[in-house]
Amino acid sequence: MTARCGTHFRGWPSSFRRIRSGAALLLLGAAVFCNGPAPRAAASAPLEYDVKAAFLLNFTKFVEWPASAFASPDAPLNICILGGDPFGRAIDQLVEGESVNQHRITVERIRSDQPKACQVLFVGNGPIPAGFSAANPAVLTVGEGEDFIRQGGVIAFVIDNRRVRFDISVKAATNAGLKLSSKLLSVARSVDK
Amino acid sequence: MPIRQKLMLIVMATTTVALVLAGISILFADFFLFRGYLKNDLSALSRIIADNTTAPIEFDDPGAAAETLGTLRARPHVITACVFRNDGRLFAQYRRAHATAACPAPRSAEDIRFGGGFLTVSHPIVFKSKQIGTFVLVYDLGEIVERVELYGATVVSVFVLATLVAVLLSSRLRLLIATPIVELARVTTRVSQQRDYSIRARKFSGDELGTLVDAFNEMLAGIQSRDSELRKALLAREAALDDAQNARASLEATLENVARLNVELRMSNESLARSNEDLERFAFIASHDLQEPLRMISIYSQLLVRRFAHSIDPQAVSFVDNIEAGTKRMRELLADLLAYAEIGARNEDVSEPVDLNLVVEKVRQNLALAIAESGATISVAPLPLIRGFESHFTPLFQNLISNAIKYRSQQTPKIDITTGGTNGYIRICVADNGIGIPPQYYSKIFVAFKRLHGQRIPGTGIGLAICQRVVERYGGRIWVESEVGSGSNFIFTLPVGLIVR
Repeated sequence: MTARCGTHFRGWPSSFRRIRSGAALLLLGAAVFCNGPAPRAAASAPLEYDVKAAFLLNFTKFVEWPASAFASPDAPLNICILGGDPFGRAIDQLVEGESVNQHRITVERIRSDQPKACQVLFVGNGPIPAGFSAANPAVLTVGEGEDFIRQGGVIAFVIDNRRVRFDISVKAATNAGLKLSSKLLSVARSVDK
Repeated sequence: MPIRQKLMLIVMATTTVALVLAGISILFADFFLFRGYLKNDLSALSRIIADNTTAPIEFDDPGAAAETLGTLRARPHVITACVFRNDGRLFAQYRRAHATAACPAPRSAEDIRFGGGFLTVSHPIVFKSKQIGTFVLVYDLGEIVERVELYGATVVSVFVLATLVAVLLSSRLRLLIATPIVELARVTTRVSQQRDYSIRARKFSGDELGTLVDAFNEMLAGIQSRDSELRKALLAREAALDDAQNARASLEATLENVARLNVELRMSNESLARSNEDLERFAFIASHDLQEPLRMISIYSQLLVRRFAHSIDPQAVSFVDNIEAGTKRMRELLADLLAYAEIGARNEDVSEPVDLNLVVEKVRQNLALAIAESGATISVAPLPLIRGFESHFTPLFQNLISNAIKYRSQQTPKIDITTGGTNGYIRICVADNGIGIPPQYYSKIFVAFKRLHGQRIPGTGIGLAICQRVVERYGGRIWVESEVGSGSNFIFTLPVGLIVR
């Protein structure tokens, strides 16, 4: 794949290069940028979630958590994946060795009835489990689809013009005690104040 | 060129130089300052834009990056700006309207460089201490040219304005500087043309020009006083010259008079000499021709006595004797007179050496009877040989010796003839021990017919006159030194040039 598309590939954001296995497989990017026949079947799902995994990691760099969100100044920044895991091993490889403001980034897969110390909570297509917010006040909730914002989520992945984009709810972030970088807002598809 | 124009020129030149220098310095300073400012400005701008493109790169959103780059529209000199990914691929680009320029390749480090009329900025895009791309910007330096043009226009307008102000100022400057100098020049010209040193320059100010005017006026005053002194001295000299001329004229007149008098004197001298000659000639002729009738009287009176001695009255004889005595005396007088006249009359005769010793010897013989009668002794020192006439010196010595015998005292006459010499003259003295002569007669005795002793001692009264005439004829002098009762000393001198031996 890399060999066949390499000369036409427009390059990845720096974080994407960390994805060794998929070799920078963008969901729609492959179809748009590669003239050759795209690899079929299940290949598309991992590509989309590779991008989303990278975005998840990048979000941590544009969001500021209150100090109370961490047990200690050098406690890890935990990205929790609720329910079914669409990322697979790719996200583990991506965050390996990464850290933000002395917080090592870790990935943990959790169930809804299993409250954990999470700074980022990816809920997938599901809703935010009731009571989770109470246990984790300063948590960046990330979900799928435009409706996720209406359900009280902070960031919602959307597919726009065959590209992975995201919507942001500043209100939800403020409620959660999070500060979002204006740069992050500038690249969001839409911002719900 | 008049000083007013020079002043104007100086003002203009100063203004021009100052403005041009200031303009050039401003231009250069601005050029470099602006380059520096531009560098800093574009560096900061690049940093901001690079920072703002981190999120688009991180979230792979070229549209957002292009939007960020689009803010560069506010800077019209930005031709193009690009965001490159780390692998060198173009992520987003901004182009100025109608521009087709491509971005140069990104450089690894932050880099700002001028070249080809452009300023190229290459700025790394760093996010969370990692370089995620490069921002490249190309800036059109036409702005600098615009600024240079703007400054140039400013300098030119300031120059025009300054020129106008300088022209206006120069009229005031003319009053301050040119007017005193022009006045000074005018006065100088007037003074030199009219030679009028009473003119004074007007003083306008108390500065150096005022000092100059004062000094000039002082100088004029000095010249004026010296001029008047000179004039006075000149007048005095002219007066003195007039006096001198007058004196000269009178002197010339005097000289003329003297010359005229000289001529008259010479003429009278000549007539005097002529009459003197006539007189001498007359005396000579008379004394010579009178001897003949005198002889007749003497002969016939003797004949009368001899032939009629027995018949005539003895008283008549005595009368005839008196006639005889008178004629004898007359003869003697005439002889002396003739001798006296001869001395002057025979000038033309050739002179010959005369031995005065022989002359004295001859005189001794002539006077032998008188010498014998009186018993006189005559001692004679050796006398010189003189160029002259024997007929002159014989009467000289004979008269002196006979006088010494004639005017003897009770003593036997003793006559000493001695010689001496002084100052180019030989002196011959004839001294006696006779009766002597009172001093008041020392000069009278040399005048003809002046006799000291009247009829008591016989004599013609011409002897000493003959002596003086002889001595003076040879250029000598004769005088007497005497003491009454002790004797007389007759002294005469003759020029040494006459001496032959």
